[in-house]
Amino acid sequence: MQILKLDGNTVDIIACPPEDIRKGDYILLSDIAANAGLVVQAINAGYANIPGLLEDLLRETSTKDLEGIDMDLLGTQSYIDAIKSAKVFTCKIRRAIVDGYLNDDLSWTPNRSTTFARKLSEEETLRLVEPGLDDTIPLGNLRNGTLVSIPLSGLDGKLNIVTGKKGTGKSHLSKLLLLSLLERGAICVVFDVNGEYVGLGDKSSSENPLAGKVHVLYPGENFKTTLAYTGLRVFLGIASSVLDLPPNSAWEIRRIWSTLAENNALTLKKLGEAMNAVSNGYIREALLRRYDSMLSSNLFTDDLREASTIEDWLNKCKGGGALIFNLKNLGVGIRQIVVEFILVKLRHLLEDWFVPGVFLFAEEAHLYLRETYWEDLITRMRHLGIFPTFITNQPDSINEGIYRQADNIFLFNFTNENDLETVSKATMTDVNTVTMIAKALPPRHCLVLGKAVNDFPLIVKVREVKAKTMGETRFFFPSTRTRRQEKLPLSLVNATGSGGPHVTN
Amino acid sequence: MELADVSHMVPMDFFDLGRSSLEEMASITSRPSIDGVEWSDEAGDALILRLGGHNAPLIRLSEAGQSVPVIGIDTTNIELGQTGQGILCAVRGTVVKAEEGRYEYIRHGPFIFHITNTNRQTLYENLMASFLDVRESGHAPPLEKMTERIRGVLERWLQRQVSLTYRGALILWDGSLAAPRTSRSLPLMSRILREARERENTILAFSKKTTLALWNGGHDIVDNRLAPSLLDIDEDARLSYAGQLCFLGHVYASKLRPGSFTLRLDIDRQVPAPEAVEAVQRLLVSDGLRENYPETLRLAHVLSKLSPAEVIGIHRFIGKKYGFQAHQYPNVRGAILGPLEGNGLPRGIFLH
Repeated sequence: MQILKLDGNTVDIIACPPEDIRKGDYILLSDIAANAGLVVQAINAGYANIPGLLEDLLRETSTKDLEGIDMDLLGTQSYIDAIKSAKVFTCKIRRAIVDGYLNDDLSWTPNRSTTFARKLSEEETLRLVEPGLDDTIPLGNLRNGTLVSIPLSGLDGKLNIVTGKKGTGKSHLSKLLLLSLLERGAICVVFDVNGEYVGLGDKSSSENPLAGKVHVLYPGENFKTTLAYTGLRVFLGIASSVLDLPPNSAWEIRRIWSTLAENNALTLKKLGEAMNAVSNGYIREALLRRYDSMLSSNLFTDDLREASTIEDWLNKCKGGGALIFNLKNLGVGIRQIVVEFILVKLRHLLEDWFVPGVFLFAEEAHLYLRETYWEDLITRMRHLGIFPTFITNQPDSINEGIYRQADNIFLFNFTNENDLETVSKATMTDVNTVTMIAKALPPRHCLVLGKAVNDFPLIVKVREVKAKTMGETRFFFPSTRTRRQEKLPLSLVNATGSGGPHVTN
Repeated sequence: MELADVSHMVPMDFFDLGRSSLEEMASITSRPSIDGVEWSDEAGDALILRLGGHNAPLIRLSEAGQSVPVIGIDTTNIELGQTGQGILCAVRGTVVKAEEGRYEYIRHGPFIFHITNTNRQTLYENLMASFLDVRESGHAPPLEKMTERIRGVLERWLQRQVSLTYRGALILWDGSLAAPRTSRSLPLMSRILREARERENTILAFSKKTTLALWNGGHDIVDNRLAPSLLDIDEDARLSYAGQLCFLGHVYASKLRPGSFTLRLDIDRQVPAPEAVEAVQRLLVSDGLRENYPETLRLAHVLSKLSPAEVIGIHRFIGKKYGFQAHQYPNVRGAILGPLEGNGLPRGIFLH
């Protein structure tokens, strides 16, 4: 292999005879004379533009049905075939190596005539990606089966985005991350809009190591809370931000809340009565409408026996545990109330160091997270200890600014050009890497970008998880569920016997 | 007779002589050329015939007779580059047989030669003796003509093998049956024609190089409505080139399909005219025609031709097997003519 072209951050490498280099593979360009090198990653492969190849192909087309004997006594055909199959790999420079150490200074350019190119083995690649790892999470495998692990430090305190089109394995990966974090004693909170995580803690299986660690909470059913626990600040926050309560009415709530609290009468019933007694008709209407909305969420209760607190649940998670908030059957407004309640409460608990940090998994967060919260989550809340992982199949639902602040992106297959454009504009790597690689990713394979892979983008086949992970997709026809791909009835050998490879004596 | 049956006709000496020439390379010291003899085996092909001075007889054809095997032969050569001592070249030849609508081929080569002023004469004598049974071959052509000459030897050898192998076939040559009177290939050509006749084969030679034009400047020599037909232009040809060329074939202008080019066709002069016409009529039913050119010959040409990719592959072969590295050929023509230059085939200077 040799350098064909160097243009900015892009290197074209020609391989003749062609080598088995796939998208995502790493190549080392060693300039022996300079005692330096470049680590480049193949993002695309194509045939080399050999002079007269078109003529050759046309000639072969016009003689393909001929039977014949090639008396190639010198044996030149294999050399000719190698030329015709020569490949050019478009690569992106990832890092330099100077005096044996990785270096971010990419301004150095190798000498074409003294540079030797060779494909890095998977083991060598992983030495670049995982230098001196202590605690790791096994993520999956490289193409040839080499196990890839990512460091816990690559996720701890980090913002992650998992994106890709439907059915490519996003949720599977997020569950793998979640379960791996649980195993290492982390506390996780999941906003589960599709009810996909509810089976994780399946207690029916004695083999499930997570049974007892995963707590599925159904807001309004097994998760209710009192007004006293909620507190005026959270209540007002929900009323103002989620339910658009005007400032004047908010003042009235403060007044009512204080009075009820002083009289030790902070119940839903009393709150409703007090609101109903407000003399100003406009304010009364405004208050009662919000009160009804809150009530309809079933999140709040006056019955202490059925009420619980976030602290109660977090205590159950100490040493590793997850709270799955199942938002599946909740309306949009109620979802927002629940999420706002949980986030504000978590923030307060983190401020009080009740827990050191929480890994938050938010599936399709645009469905329940109001605009202003995005920024809050990735800036202030992150510093307090909420480490979010956003999972979405609509990349444009996540603000460009969030992509830019992401520490890790787990990118699954996208074929839609608009989706690719959105992701490529905002990710920490170049546009070509995203568009060339993401389009070709098979299901369950993702391109990992960011700190988790030491900024060496890596294509990983996500490993299986020993837990009930799949969402329960409902089908009308039973056969839909059992449909499998059958072996294609195509023969790779020409049935007529003609047009095959020529015989060479 | 299956085409595969003649696969025993392996030109081993071509292979061996070419290989030896490459292996000798390191020990060769150059000397200036002392050979000034011009060789032009194709001189009989590239004629310019102006017709219409008198009424040439028109022979109307019909698709008649039984289908017979048609065998087309073509060869190609290319200069691969220069070495310090001489030139590297490659030749390749193909025989294509059409029988009952089915085509098959045998392709020989590429054979690679390193020709120097030192080995030129020996190489030439060995080739002529081994392949064409010509012991008194005389002086070898100058270095720059050797590639073409080696190709000529391969072509004549293939033509002869086919003539000796088949019976009752139409054998198609690319070129003509005319040659300069001083040409050493005339006796050889006569012999091949005779050997073919003895086996009831008929040799038809199609020339793409002869320019056929009317005195008034037009090129539509035979009206489309008259196709398929032959125009007997033998007299025109011989009058135009009397004294310079020996015509072993009877010269016709052929238009075998309407709307196509009119091509020169030479048919063995020793074949009686009715049989010659019958042979062309049999060709009409036995082989496909594209632009008046037989498909067997077209395929033989296509299969023989060395493409740029193949030439690069051969460069690589020479580099790997014999340790020569091709460097860019100083392209004077390219520098002067730019994109209008040449055929785009890569050549190189080989350094040992």
